[in-house]
Amino acid sequence: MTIIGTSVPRKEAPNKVTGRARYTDDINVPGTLNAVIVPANKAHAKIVSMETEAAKNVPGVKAVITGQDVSVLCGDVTEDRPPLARDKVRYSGEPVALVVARDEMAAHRAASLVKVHWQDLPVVNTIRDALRDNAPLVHEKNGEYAVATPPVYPKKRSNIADEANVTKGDADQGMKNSDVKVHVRVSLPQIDHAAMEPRIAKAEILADGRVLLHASTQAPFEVQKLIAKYFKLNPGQVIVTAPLVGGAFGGKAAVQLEILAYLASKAVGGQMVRIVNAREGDMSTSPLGMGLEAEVTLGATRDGHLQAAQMRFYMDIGAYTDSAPRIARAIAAQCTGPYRIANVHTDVFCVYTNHTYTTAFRGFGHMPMTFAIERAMDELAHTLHMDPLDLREMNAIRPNDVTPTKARLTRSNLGDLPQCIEKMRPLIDWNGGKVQSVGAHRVRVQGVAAFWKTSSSPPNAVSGALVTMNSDGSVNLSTGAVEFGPGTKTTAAQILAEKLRIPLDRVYVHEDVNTQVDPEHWKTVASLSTYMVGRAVVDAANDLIGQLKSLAAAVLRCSPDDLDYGEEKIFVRDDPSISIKFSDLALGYKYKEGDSIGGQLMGRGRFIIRHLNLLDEETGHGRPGPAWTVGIQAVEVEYDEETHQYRILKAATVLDAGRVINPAVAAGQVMGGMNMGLGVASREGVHYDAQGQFLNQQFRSYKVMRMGEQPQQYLVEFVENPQLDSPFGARPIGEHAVLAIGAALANALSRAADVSLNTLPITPEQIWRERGARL
Amino acid sequence: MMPNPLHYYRPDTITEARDLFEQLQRANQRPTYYGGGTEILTRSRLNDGDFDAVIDLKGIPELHVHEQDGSRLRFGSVLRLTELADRDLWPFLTATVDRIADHTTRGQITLGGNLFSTLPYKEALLPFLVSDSADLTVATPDGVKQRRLADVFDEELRLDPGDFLISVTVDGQEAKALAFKSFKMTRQDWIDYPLVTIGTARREDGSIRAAFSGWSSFPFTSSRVNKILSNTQKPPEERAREAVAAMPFHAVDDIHGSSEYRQFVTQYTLARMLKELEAQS
Repeated sequence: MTIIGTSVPRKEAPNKVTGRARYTDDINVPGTLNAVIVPANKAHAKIVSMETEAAKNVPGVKAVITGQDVSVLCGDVTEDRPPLARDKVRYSGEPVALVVARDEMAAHRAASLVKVHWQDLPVVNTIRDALRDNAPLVHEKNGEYAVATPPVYPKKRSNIADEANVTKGDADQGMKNSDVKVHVRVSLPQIDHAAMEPRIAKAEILADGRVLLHASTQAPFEVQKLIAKYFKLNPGQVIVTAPLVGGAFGGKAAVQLEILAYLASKAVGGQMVRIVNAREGDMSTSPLGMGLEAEVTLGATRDGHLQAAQMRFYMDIGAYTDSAPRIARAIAAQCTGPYRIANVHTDVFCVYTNHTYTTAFRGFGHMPMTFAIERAMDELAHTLHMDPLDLREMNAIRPNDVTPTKARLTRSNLGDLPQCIEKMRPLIDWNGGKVQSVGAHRVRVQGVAAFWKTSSSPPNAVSGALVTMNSDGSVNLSTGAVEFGPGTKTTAAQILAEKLRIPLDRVYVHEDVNTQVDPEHWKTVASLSTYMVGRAVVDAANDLIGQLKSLAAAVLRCSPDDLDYGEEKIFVRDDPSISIKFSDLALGYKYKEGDSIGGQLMGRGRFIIRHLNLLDEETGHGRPGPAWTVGIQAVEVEYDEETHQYRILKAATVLDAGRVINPAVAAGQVMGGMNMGLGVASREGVHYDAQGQFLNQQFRSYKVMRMGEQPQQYLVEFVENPQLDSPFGARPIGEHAVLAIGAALANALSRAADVSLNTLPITPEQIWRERGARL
Repeated sequence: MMPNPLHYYRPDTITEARDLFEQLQRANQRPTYYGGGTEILTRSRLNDGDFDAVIDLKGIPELHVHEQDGSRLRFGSVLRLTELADRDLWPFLTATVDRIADHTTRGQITLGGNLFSTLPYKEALLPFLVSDSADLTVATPDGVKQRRLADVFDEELRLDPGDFLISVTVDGQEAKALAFKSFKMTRQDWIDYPLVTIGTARREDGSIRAAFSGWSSFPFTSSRVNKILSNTQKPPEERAREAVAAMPFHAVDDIHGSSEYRQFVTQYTLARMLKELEAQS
């Protein structure tokens, strides 16, 4: 079979391109009520009192809920977030009340009539504000909250929500042994996920007590568990469906609107309630991607061998913790980038501010982390007068090395960075990073940066697959992974088709995820779907093949061991003319006389991650993921020395994909990643004013890369060194192309402008400023 | 999602529209005129806007006029920006309006909507601001009146409440004789609000005028700046530097760019425009 490694269209593509694909808001139940959030217009203030009478009197309004009505505290790790603010608000945009009404318009009108009397509190508007002595506290009860998923180490009476450390070797000694040291400080703003489909949830509570939730989520099974936990229900009572999701990028792994939808439904006797973010609320009320300030010191020998690294990362997590402690550990565990460094000391701090709270963002902290380490690597190359690619190749981490958390690396669990680098040289036509003049005030420069990433998943993450047969011998595939764009379901179908040796169009995928009928999949995050779902699918395929053979063996009067399969038939290996079609076995075999045996055949498969563990509190040692994907990225820019404007001419990625399952989709995923990473590096970022107000909550002012502003060329190549425990050797590739491309841009422009560009986004103004702001 | 109910009217004549406005006011409604709707709709999403009735002017034929009317170029106030660009009656106006928003939005935005926008930019004003002959045709309670743009413009076009713009005209000879450049400078993106948009024109007598949008919270031209720019004894760079120093207002400081950076961008852009203008002659 040749399904693996073949470019096939995604299963849902025809429906998507004709507008027939169904998303959460396309599921309409007559009589659905609408809930609208009343957002805080203060970043940090006590709620003295609230007036809801006027809102309640708007015709069509069914209920107005405030924080006084809800006592539960939520949080993925630390339970520090009330679904509706109680006593005080901690960011502008935070939900303070929820209006439920017959129609959306009445709900909006009523929401605008809810009046809050505030008492202003001093705003914690920057990481520096937050860490000052006697800084105002975002959470007076920091350190006293219940912890849902350890580890987390909050510091009482401070704005430090968590701290993670990693120590390997002796960093101080390593620095002493170094001939050269470079020191880099980087600063990155919070960013928005900017998914095309804003977040949405619908909930109803049936008379029998079951809760039905429809949501645009990456984590339907997490929604099920958390709703059950927060509202003291049995998990089986909570049924979550996740139809196609219109982009997620980590932002839909957080659980927020689902909780509000449940509260709203409960307030109106269980009727179906819909809550949907407008774009403005999707940015300022729902969680963002974190901001970061970091300091990196690298020590190396004169010939460029890295000796030591010391780093401090301060994450602007905003007002609530959400998944920040997990991200902090991911940063700590991969802090060196894909380099062999014997002596490392790294501290990562999660810092509360009065900014919109944050959650996972494509790359799970590795994108900002990579920016820091890769800027430092380029500074080192500059200091040593070395070719930046040579420096990276010389220090690339290799099998038998250990990671900063002392996880052992093998040929299987680590991709081959040197091979990627060798392939990048001709791809980008590498010139060593030289600044080339191409006309008056105009120069062309290339920049490179490397990345690695592992999953940072919990050590007990599970996945499953169910395969049922249709009467014609075709199969249905049911998995728990949500489809939000990268072709997850299609990849699973390819793996099943390959294993069953049937054409891809004989596999029908269950597009939605329904927690009641689909097998559990931890969360559709961390680029793990191919690995985890794929393993479960292989298991299910083997189970089904066993069932087919065993039923065929009875019919063909032989041992199952004598049988092989292909072309939708089971046949005797040494005499293929003795065979029986899948279709004659699918729903049981019927003898000529009419009596039948077997029943419907269904394969079941399951998978649980193995050999992972939580990082040790003291040393940070442990194994954070099953494997590390590596790659190298490059850009070529043309820079105007007079105006500081620039154009990105080329952007390139070479990554070790292990085995490419669907080349066109994989290349698309990588190009999309580069586009996103370049957008973040060149224009994106949340602006807060001095009072902590979110200033750019629309796309007219929060700029993402538009069609036409992208580089002239996107170049993508793969190398294939298999990950042995993954289906067909495929390595995770979903997130990775965002990771280092922004650093590559900064490296190119830093050379072009002859100044260190360590603050994102890199706008012409930023370059002008760094160059001394001369008129 | 527009949270508040909005009454929509679409009169067929100038008189109907003008009367309707007063009727609505008498009935204690808060009417506003409606062109392409891009601002009214987006502001309504944010509950921002003091109106509960809109009078759509696009049904009135006189507001669609788009022609050389005798010696004058006449532009109806409900012409879409894309219509202006496609017809290209006055290339200076085309060059300026064709950089507003994106193509889809320009297919909605009207000339009048841009000139009376609540945003600070109103770039379509710039070519008219550097002309001597720009006139407005205005619907008033006493019928249709001509007003000199110079008499009506004071940081914005000031019409009496309830009056509306029918068309803008400019002398065809003057328009033709202007050598022009129109540059829009943004923070980073092709599609964004301007740090500064500059319309410069070189007149037959060799003098130069410039009008600016984005620098301040309203568009403007300055005789002092124009005088500096017109002093061709000095090199363009020097004139640009002096012009920026002589600007009558402080440069805006906002999320698109700092005040100092606006000065920097304005200076190099002006220098470049002067060079290009003078190379043409």
